[in-house]
Amino acid sequence: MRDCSWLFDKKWGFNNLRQNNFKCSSDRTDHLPCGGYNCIAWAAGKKDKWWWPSDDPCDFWPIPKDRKNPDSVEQFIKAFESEGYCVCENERFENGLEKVAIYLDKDGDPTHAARQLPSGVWTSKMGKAEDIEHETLRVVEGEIYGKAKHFLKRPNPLCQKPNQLKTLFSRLLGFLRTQLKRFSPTAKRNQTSS
Amino acid sequence: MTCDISNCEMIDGRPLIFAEEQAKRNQLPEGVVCQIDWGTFLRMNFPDKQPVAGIEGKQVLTGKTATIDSVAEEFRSLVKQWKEETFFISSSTKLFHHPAYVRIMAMGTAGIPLVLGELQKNSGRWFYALKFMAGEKGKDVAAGINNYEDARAAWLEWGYKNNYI
Repeated sequence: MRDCSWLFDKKWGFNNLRQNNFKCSSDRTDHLPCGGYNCIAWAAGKKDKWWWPSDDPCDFWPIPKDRKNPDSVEQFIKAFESEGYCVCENERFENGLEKVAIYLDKDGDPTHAARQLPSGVWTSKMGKAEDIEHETLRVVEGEIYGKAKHFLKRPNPLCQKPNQLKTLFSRLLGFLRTQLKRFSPTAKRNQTSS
Repeated sequence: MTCDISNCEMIDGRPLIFAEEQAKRNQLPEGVVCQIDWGTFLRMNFPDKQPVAGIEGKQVLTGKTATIDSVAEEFRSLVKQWKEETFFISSSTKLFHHPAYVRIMAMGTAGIPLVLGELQKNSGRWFYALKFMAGEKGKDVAAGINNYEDARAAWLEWGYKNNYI
């Protein structure tokens, strides 16, 4: 297990972190050009780019940028909507759904995003530092990220896969049955007699 | 090694670097103060570059004595502070408005060689700062480029062509 005890240092300002309410789940990415990926990308399930609505060559944004107000919370909601999420009321765990939370600082500017895992715990990419899994959204709230204020949800992709496989399998079975009927000796006899 | 540039003009931020180069070439012992005639120096070392044409936006340094080491030292300290204090920040807006980053941008053309040095090391996010520091001359360097490698190559090429590296 990775050691993330350095995050407890008061100077970082994550005052809600406790030994028993979070764990590290990746390596840090500060050695990568552009810092690797950030919390917004990670919340959307991606880890190949730094997602932020700016013109900087390091940044990627999945929708056209709003020139007047590029990093308003509306832009972040739209970006997540483009990834299949829709706005929801709260962070409460719902079976089969994947939720994301957007954090805002005291000025109302987006600072961070976290994604809920099928287990109900949350995962966050901490800037250029590690991904962590944390029990609640409160754990990373504070001076740096502010508070989780907006929530979105989408069908959990992990839950979708078995369903898709089931659908594919039943379609294949149906197709085989049809073919079997067409080419079975009974079907041929029926065709000849008619 | 220090270079007394109290009576010299900063020419597009380059004399500090040139002074260092000249000191190396002349093999000046450490600690010796070098007086440099920049016009002669440029003509002698870059006869094919028409230095006068390349001199833009002259900036008079008002401090008593600036040292190569002190500028680089301040830069290193600001980079360290910026990296440490923005380690958990995702917002590019906040990264670029951090006081240490702003202070680096305020170094203007004098800081460009140092920033390009960081870019050569693949360390940090410097395109925003470079665009600001290079001003009008650099506004189109990475225009329309939306990936790190191409932007890095474009800025390093620009730096090389403009004698910053």
